[in-house]
Amino acid sequence: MPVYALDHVSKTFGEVVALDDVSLEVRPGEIHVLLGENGAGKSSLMQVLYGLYRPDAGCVRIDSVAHAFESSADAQACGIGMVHQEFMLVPTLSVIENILLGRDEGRGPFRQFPDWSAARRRIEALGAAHGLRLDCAARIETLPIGVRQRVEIMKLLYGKADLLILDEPTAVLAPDEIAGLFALLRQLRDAGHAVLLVTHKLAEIMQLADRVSVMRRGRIIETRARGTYDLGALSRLMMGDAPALPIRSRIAPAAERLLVRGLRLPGNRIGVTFSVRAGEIFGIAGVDGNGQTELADAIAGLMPASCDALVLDGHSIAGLSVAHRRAAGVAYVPADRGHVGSIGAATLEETAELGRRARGFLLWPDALRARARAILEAGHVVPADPALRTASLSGGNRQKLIVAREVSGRPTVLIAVYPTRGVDVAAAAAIWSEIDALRLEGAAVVLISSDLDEIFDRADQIAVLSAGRLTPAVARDEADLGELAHAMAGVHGNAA
Amino acid sequence: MSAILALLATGLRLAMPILIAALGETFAESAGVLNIGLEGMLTLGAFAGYVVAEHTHSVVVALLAAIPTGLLGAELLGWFVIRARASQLVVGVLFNALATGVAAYLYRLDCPPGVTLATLTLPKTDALGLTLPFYALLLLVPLAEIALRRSRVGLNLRAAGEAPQAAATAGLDVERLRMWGLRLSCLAGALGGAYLVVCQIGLFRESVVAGQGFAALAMVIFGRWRPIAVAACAVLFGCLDALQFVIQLDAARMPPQLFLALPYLVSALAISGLFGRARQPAALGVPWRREQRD
Ligand SMILES: Nc1ncnc2c1ncn2[C@@H]1O[C@H](COP(=O)(O)OP(=O)(O)OP(=O)(O)O)[C@@H](O)[C@H]1O
Ligand SMILES: [Mg+2]
Repeated sequence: MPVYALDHVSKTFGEVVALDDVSLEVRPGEIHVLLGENGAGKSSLMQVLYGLYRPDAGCVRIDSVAHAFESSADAQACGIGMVHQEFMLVPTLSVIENILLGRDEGRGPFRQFPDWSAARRRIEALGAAHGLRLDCAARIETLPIGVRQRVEIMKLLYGKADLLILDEPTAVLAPDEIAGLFALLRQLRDAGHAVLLVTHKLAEIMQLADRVSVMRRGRIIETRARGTYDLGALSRLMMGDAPALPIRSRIAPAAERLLVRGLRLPGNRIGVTFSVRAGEIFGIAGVDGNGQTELADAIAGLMPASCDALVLDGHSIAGLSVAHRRAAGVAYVPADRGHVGSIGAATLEETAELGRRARGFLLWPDALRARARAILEAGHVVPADPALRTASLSGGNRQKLIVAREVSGRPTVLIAVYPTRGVDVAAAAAIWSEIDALRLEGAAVVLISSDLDEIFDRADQIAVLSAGRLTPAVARDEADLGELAHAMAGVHGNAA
Repeated sequence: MSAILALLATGLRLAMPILIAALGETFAESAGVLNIGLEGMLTLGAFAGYVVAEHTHSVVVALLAAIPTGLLGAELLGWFVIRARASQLVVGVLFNALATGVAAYLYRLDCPPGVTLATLTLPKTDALGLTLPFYALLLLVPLAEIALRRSRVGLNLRAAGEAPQAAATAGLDVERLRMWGLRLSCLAGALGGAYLVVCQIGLFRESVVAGQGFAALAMVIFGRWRPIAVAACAVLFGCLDALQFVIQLDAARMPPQLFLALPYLVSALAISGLFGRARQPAALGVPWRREQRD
């Protein structure tokens, strides 16, 4: 199997220099981790290697032969496969159609008609060999994010890639799913494949990496082999002296702010019941696809749901529209930052303004820009130019913008779903200090996440959502990590 | 022959131009291109068919004239909406106006006004009043169904219309796929127009198409982007059209405009969303650009 290399690659988008003379080499039989803060250029570099972005300078070399990829079809033909940070699946097509999409096999006139049953057998065989259970006929839009991830990985295996690129594949996975993925990657490495893994999570690197390259502001600043680095050194390389997560200051629990009683999620007659007091973070742990999005949407008012009571500060908000709930003090950081939380085609200042309640018919450009600047600064969004398109932000920066906007309205209830998804350590610290400040002002925070460590670290009360049911809440000091993990795994992967 | 059968046969006959145009448009829309210029394509096809029929006296050659006409129209439209990423709506509307103007102008230049295609030997009809070209074109329905829903290109086209970014990531050439969808739509539109003039009415005016291109656009929605269903809806439209002839003859005292409007009213109702709503291809009408995130 060949050696893949990026040779002095540069790429700019308008004013933004995404890649600045980057070289990188991946060898067969190694897991190479690419590490870097939000907006460092990791995804851009991977898109160049996969033929989706054409570099302004430099090229891809395979066994030192230069290639100029015209499209990702060229990259695939050279044995490169990729799982993207934002999934690249066609929602209305089935699992098997997505896997076969763009794959030319067979010859002659029958090339037009894929052999579906042979393909299905191969997918099932691969699934059995690697522990990836998939229902070939299921439509993608009906599947939870964790299962979609499996489809993406199956696409790689099905395409027999020599080089596997995975751009932050663990961002939405539960602990045991992550372990499964890592086992699979090691197995592939031992079979001689090259693996290129992009991540923010330092702990994952220590487990997995044979070599680590660190990116910062569009450059690779260092590559190190296993054994020549430790966590502290890597994190300093990645972003200088990073701020640690803010220490949670405890405040005395106050009066009840948000009460949810008997909220019935789809397919469940037994409702979800919990309450959150002022100044408290209520953590809901669970594997994605167990009703998280529905629960959050129902509280925010995006989805109609029947419930016995939905009370904010003693007033029922059950019958209110989204706008009225927001006016009453509810803010929402949704799981889907691309489609629910923001509009790709809008400028940053427009995204920052979305959902703000204000009098007056006209938007005054100066005031709009000033407010946007304040939000961009509070959220440490880079680049902080209010006139940019929202879609041009890197994934993590888009997330930071949404959190900063929601917090800027000083809500009394914040519903945050995966608030630090795909966000680097420094940015996660910034996001948490924003949310913490809000909490100290007396807001009630509902934190929904599949990251048990995060929940354990931040929440005051913890409950587990599994198959649309919520376990009774326990105070953090009395909670047991093992038990919670067990409850999460209880009814796990209900859609596969 | 019972009245019902006669009605059905007339309906089938009247439906054919709309049916063909709608089938082609289904491909364009599945790939993400909304070809509002379909009406204009029918007009141009009608004109080309008329001129060629007049000079060659051959039905087949006249129908074949639709091919260069359609391809030419597709290149023009495609340059604007796919290469230059202009608004598909605006370009389509302008194209319709342009097509009517061009056809009317050329017609006055070339042809003595008001002359019908008397010299043309129209194809023989069977007991139902249907012709060989009719049956030949009907074969396009199962072909379209297989091509769009069962073949690899069909899968690729649908991916380009649902999630162009994902399609490009899978290694597909989104612009090329969309261009081919648009070509099919324009080819089918021109063919529908030529058929209308050569096989049905035998004369040309710039107003001869009279909204059938728009009706075809409605049929695509009505049939929920599935070729067989789209064809069935077009036939239903044709039958309503036939019905209005019958009713008009019987009930002479009713305003005739009401019956003329009947098929259009029914299709407006059908796509209003009152009878369930199907999702259109997610990226329909949205220009796509390489290297642009969305
Ligand atoms: N298609 C694009 N259009 C405009 N700007 C872009 C585009 N792709 C990337 N950029 C810019 O290039 C820079 C690097 O982005 P990239 O997505 O590569 O970062 P990243 O390291 O993957 O960050 P994250 O960890 O947040 O995913 C960012 O400033 C981003 O705004
Ligand atoms: Mg990225």
